This record gives sequence, structure tokens and C-alpha cells, in this order.
Amino acid sequence: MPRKTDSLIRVLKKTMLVFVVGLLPGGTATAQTDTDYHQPLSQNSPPGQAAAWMNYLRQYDPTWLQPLSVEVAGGGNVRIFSGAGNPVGPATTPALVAVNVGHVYRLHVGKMPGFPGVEIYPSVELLDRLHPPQGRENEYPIPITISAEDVRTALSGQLVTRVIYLEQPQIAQELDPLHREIPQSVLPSDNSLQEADRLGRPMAIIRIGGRRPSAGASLSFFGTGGGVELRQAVTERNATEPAVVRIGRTVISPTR
Amino acid sequence: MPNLLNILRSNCRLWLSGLCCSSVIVGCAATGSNAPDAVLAARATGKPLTEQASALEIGVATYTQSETTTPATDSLSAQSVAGENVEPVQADYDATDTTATVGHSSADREGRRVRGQNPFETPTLNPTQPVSQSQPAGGTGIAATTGFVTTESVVNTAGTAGRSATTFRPAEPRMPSAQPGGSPAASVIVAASSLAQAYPDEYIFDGGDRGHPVHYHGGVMGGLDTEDTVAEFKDHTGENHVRASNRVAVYAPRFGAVRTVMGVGIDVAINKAAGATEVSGLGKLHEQRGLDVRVRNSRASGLGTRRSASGVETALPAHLSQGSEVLALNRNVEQGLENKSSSGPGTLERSQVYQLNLEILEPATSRIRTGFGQTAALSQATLTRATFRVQSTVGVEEKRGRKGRIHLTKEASSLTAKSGDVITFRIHFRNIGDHNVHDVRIIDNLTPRLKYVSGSGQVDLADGSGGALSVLPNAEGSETLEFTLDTPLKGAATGTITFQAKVL
Repeated sequence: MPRKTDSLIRVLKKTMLVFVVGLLPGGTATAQTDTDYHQPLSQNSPPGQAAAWMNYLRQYDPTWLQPLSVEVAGGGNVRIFSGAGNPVGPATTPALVAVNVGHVYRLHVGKMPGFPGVEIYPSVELLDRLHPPQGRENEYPIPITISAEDVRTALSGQLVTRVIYLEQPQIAQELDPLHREIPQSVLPSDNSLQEADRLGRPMAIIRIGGRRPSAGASLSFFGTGGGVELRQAVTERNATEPAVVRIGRTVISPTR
Repeated sequence: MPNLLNILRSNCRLWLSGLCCSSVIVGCAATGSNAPDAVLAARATGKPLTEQASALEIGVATYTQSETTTPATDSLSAQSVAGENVEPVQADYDATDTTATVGHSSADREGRRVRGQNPFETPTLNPTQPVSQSQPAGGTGIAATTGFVTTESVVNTAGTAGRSATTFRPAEPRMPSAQPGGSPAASVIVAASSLAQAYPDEYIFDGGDRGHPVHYHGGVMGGLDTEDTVAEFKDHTGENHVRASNRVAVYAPRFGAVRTVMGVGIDVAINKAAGATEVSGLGKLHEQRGLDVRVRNSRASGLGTRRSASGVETALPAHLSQGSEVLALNRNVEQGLENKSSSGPGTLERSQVYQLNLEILEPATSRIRTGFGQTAALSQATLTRATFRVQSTVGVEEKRGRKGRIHLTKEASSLTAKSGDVITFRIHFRNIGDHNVHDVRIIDNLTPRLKYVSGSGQVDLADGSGGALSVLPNAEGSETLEFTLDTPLKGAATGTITFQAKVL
């Protein structure tokens, strides 16, 4: 009898989870146009919750690794933890890292020229993936950017949360929204995940704070155990695009 | 008890499976893409997307074949596009919503020849192959001639013949792509990947007729959204036409970030600020005053109308001439007065009408009687008709020909790009009719991610004539390019527009 009851409870739990998953970021077409819809997830949700829901819903292919480009203003070294104390790396930023979608990873960023002796441990929660032309995945990574202002803010004891989103082209701005001098920001009382969903498709959540691993830290601090590998960044030289495009008598040199 | 648990569990599984299916579909929409049913079905059923992609291409082949009848000399027939034998009615879809992707993989399957390193030699339709054009939605079968004969009614017939196969719908992320009663014009997408239709937010589109179809309202063009590329022209009868090009999809995802800073000190300060912004008392006061509404209500209460109904009070316009809205009321009152005045002498008018009716009836009957009565004159009339009218009809048919109609094909020098890259676009235009087309304007409303490179626009026509280019800002912060031809475009004449745009 206890087995039957446990089974029933498990079924009910799954049912409730699926029901709630329907309320994921931008989960419905209606939500895409209605900015006042209820968004149960936010930047304040526990790290990994949004990614776990997305993974449960989408059933991401575990063999697919989404490239990320870890960019730190001024440069530095980065190592990647994935559910264990043994990191991958280090690599010099900008570093190309390929990880599983639907997981949380912990980064270790150090040797920043602008911040000597400073080490930070931001986390990256990957929500979604790209679908580039086959064989060109590494040319289009999702940017994981950490600015100098982010580092300063984290060192002052505050938590910086960035929701990286894929811009909706038809409502795009003329200026690059990722590298604006004044970043797009919302109040802590607002839902940055919902705002990102309004502007495009949320791809990742970066949390940069002052938290450091302690001696007896749980393994969950280091992420949820998704796959990770370092990759060679694609330079312009070995890109497959032709360097010069000839059209009749006109010669056009693509801007680099 | 175990039985009850089993029943409950099975019910919950059914419910769960139902929710799972719906959630999967909903989740697909969450990617920022209103994926077509085929792709959604592929995700839900676990079918490889490549199979669905081939189905899309089959859809194109069928559509092209059924809509246009290519001449025998055409090198690429509709079925050879798909690379396999295809039943004429393989897929059931609305002709207006048909979109498909032609990518590298499909080009490989089609076995097209490799055309070297020219970036314009991307897998695309043969320029001589007519791109299937759109038609007004609703399946009304409005016929529109093309150079190769045609007719959308044929497509509609196919669409109603087999309703059992996949239904294709437009795929546009987060923005409406097809309007009821309208038509997204271009149905072919040239892209680097067959997934461009499923994940359009990763691409920059240019060409076609997105959103509201381009139309005329009061002589003014409307519905020209960003990304649209259309040709506007007049045929030899003076009728205005608009035709859209195909769509080009350039893979160029761009990212943004929303930043939030949380801390104890900031929390206090920001909470106050948030409260201040939420205190919208002033706005509510303004809205609740409702001065305009009150004034309108008092004046529109019908006082003026009642006065006019009660009698002809000509002083009424003087009372109400203080406000601008009174003018409208005056009009109503005057109409009321006219009605009443007309009802006054109504008896006289009715009698006049009655007399007129009588007068009309009399000659009518007299005509009929004379017509039927002169039966002997019918032979003379038939002789006249038989000789001249038939000859004149034959003469008109010889001069008729096909109306002029412009067909646009758009190409891009690269189907993948990054911010800062420069892409060269080519628009090939061709008059696929026999008659000249006049006042030709080819308009490309660039998406905000594309910035026109100043001075790069060129117009080349086979007959050596030229055109003018106007670059105008549009409402989205980008630019609209208008290429105007100097001379009418003759039948079967061709030309090319080339310009460059920088990817932002």
C-alpha cells in the first residue's frame, strides 16, 4: 500500500510540474505579445530552476553542446566547474566553452589585469540553444559577458544578474544591446527574465556575486553536472566566409 | 483500494500525457518562433527535422508546379527541384501561407551544378524559374496571369483536393505574419539552413511581404513593413500592381542583456523609486476628469435634434456654433430639417414620383411592343451583327497579349554574417508579360539590423536605361530604398539592382 501511495504522489507531482512548466518564460504565443502576463520565474528564482524546467520541457539532446564565449572586460583567465571540484581549464578570455543546455555551471574568473588578486565565481544557467548552420556552431556562441562594473559591484557585496537574450530582429535596436555603454537594466523589484522575454528569447542567466566556495561546500555549488569542454575559438582567418567578394567589376571587402 | 489507485493512476497518466503534448507545443513557441506545424509535429513526435524539411521543399515543388506552367525550354522543372517524383497534391496547405526553405542540403540533394566561388551562387532558384507568387487569402481563386500562364485557382484546387496531409502555416516569431484577407507574397526562403523557418529569430530576413500585405488605401501605399521588398508598377491599362520578391534569410543572431543589481542598500532606495513611479495619481486624475467626454455628452444629448424634430427653429445653429463639435451637430440638425421639410411636402413629392412612374411605364411598354411588333426587321439586324461584330472581336484578341507583370528575385552575397559585415544584395527584376509596365518602383524596406552603405546602389537594365535611387528613413529607424526606373519596362525585359548593407 505505501508503494501505491508513493506512486500516486509521484504521478501527481509530475502532473503539477508539467502544469507549471506551461508558465515558463515566454511559453505561449499570447505571452509574447502581452507584457502583463504572469511570469513565475525571475532572476530571484533559485539558480537552476529555470534551466531544469526548460530541460524537462524541451528534453534537450545531451550530446549537443552549446558553445559559449566567456568574455571578461580587460581579459583574464577562466575555469569551468560542472558539479564537481575539478574544473575544466584554465583558458584565456575570451574563451570558447561548450556546455549542455539546461544546466548550471560555475565559473572561476581570475588574473584580471584590472583587478589584481581578485577572483570571482559567477554562475551561468543555460536556458536555450542556437541552431546555426551545420558545422558552424563555434562561430556563433552565446556571449557570457562580465564587465568591469559587474566585478566592482560584486566586490561591493551586491549581486549582479544578467539575463542574456537573443534579440528579436524585427524589434531590434540600431545599437548593439549587449555592448551598450549604459546597459539595459531593470529594478530589483522588476522581473528581468520577463523583460528579456519581451525583447527576445532568454538564453542564459549570469549571476555575479561575492560568493566563494568554502572548504565544506556542497557539490551543488559547482553546478548541476552537465557536459563541458573547451574549444578552439574560431578566428576570422579560418572562417569559411570568403575574404573578398567579387561581383562583376566591383570588389567589396567585407568589414571585419 | 488497489483498483482505485490503478484507475487514478491511469487517469493521471492520460491527463499528464495530454498536458505534455500541449506543453511541448507551447514550449516550442517559447523559443521565440511560431514554428510551423510540420516542425512542431517533428518535435512532438521525435521525427527528424530533415524529413520535415524535405516535405517543405516538396511543398515548394508542388506549389510551383501547380501555380505556374513553365515552358518546355525551362531547364529546371518543378519536380526536379524536389529531386524526386512528387505527386501533384502531396501537401495540403494554403497557397497564401506557403513558405519553404531552400538550403545547402537541399541543393546537394537536387544535384545542382557547383557554380564556383561566386557568393551569389548560393543554392537558390533558377532565375528563369518563376517564383510562386501569392494571392489573396481565403482561397477565392482570384486569377492572376503570369508569364507562364498560371493561376492561383489551380493551387486552390489542389489545396481542397487532399486535406489529409500536412498543413503549412506561416512562421514568424512573435510578430503577425499573415493577415486575414491578405497575402504574404513571397513563398520561397533562401537560407543557409532548413531550420530558418523554425527559428527565424536567429536570422535577418529581407524580402517578401511580411505582416500586413502591401495595399493601397485612398491612393496611398500601406502595409510596407520592414523586410519587405516589392515592385510597384502600372500595366498598360493603368492599373496599379504590387509584387513581392522572395525572402532571403541571413544567419546573424545578436544578443542583448538585461542587468539587475541587488543589494541591501539599493533595495531601500529602489523600492522608494519604484513606489514613486507607481503612484500614478496625477495620471488617473487627468483621465477621470473627462472634460471632453462630459462636453460631448451634454451636446450630444440630442437637444438639438429634438428641437429640429419639434419644429423648424433656425436659431439652433447660432446657439451651438460656439464649439467645434457643434459643427457636427449642425450637420445633423440640418439633415433633420431636410428630412422634415421633405416630409412636409411629401404628398406633392409622392404624387410627382407616381406620375413619373407612370410616364416611365408607358414608354417602356411601348418599346417592348414596338420591339416585338417589328418582327420583320429582325433579319436586317442579324445581318448587321453577324458581319461586323465578330470581326472586331477577333481584332481585339490579336492585340491583347499578356499584361505586363514584374517578377522579383532577391539574392544575398552571404547567408551568414556577424555584426559589422557587409552584405551585397541583388534584386533581379523581369517583366514576364508582353506589354510594357510603367512607373516602376522597386522598394526595399530594410530591417533595423541592416544599414544601407551609402553610394552602393546601382541599377542596371539590359536596354541601357537607368533609374534613380531614393534613401528615406522609415519608422523603425532603418531606411527604405526606392529604385525608380526612368523608362517603362518592356515585355520580357530584365534588370538588376545591386546595393550593399552593413549588418548591425
